[in-house]
Amino acid sequence: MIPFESYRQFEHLLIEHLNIMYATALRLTGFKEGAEDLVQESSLKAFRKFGQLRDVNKAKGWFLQILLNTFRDRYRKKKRKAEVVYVELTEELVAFASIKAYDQEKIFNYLVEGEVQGALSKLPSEFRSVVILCDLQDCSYQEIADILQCPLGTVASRLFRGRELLREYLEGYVKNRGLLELNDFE
Amino acid sequence: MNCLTARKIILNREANDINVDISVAQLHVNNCPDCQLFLSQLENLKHILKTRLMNQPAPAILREKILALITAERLCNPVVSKRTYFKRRILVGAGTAAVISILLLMIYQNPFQRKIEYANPAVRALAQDHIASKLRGNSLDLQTSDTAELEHWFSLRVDFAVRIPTLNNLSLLGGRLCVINGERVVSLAFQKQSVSISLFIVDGDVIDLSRMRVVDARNRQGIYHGDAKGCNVILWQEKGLIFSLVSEDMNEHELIELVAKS
Ligand SMILES: [Zn+2]
Repeated sequence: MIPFESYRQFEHLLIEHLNIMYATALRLTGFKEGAEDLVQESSLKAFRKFGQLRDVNKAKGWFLQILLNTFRDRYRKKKRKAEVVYVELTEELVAFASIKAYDQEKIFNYLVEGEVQGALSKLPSEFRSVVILCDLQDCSYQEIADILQCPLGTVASRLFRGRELLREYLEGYVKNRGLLELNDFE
Repeated sequence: MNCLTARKIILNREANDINVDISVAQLHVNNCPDCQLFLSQLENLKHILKTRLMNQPAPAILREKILALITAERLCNPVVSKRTYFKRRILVGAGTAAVISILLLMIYQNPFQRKIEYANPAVRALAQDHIASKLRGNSLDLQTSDTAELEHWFSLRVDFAVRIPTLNNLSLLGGRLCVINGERVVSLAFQKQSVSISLFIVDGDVIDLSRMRVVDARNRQGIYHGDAKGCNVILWQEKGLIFSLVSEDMNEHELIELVAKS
């Protein structure tokens, strides 16, 4: 039995967080129909689990957590579960990122939405989730750590590696469009 | 403090140990042009993401659909209260009517919701990718007609063993890694005279073929057909993978001929 008051409360919270769920789902799946399907399934799951939400002030993270878990379950259903490795951000890792010799600000400005979404979609999902939550949804490291249930240091290192890979993929688009010569990359 | 340590501390600022003093790292950055450029390039990347992938609001129709489903689900649960028998009858009656109409609507539009919603968007996504790639002048990740080289390149990037089938009378231009339904997909560009044809290789559980139309059954499992965005899409299954040929300029029979001859 779901009392009317909690049903109304759920409805209010859902309406308040539906946009962030949809925006996140759109960037996770990369297409509108996939996002709609994912948000619908996650909303119904959230409704069934509503009793488990202890603090309504944490509703944003709670909705996003259900969304990300649903995404993972749906798209990774038949895959062997990879062993989760928690890696801290170290100097060695930071050393992988170099300063770009070309004018990145000017060159990346030519990129269009489809190319940026394409690069984002190519990221392994554990990096993609962190980049979306941090850079697009402005979640704090603490919020992301709660949503993904991983240590803060892992959030920092996944974000760093995700952004580096993203930059590599964006460079690929720029190169394909002939905006940069091959030797600019060396 | 050296550049790497300073960068690490700044990038890690929300996750640092409490005894790490950020001010020392900040002081280094303030006096180091290299670190400033490094961090500004990362900021610029974030800016590109934010401006190109702007948040879009959830469509109103989606919101209404979800709220209707939730109302229906709630009404399906027994309501225990101190209402009078009459009030309860009205509530239960209205609830049942609502549930039945929603179910009828769902059945009418979508008898096997998951399967249909899954198959059609996948065909649309394949067609969309084919068109987008053509518009960009077949911007390939690897431009070669060497199948062994392509198979090796893809094997490092997808979770399945890639075997490129031979398609007669087509010249292979190269390959590109793309993403469909959140999954990494092998995309190969072919040409026949001036006609562009894409071959996609997808892990078998990404696309549900069971609700699609079979157009050719000579192969034991059949060849399926769909169309979207002015493209013809044929799909077939082999060893747990799904292969798909997409073209704007060839009909399904011409596409099937390419498979049959291989
Ligand atoms: Zn420095």
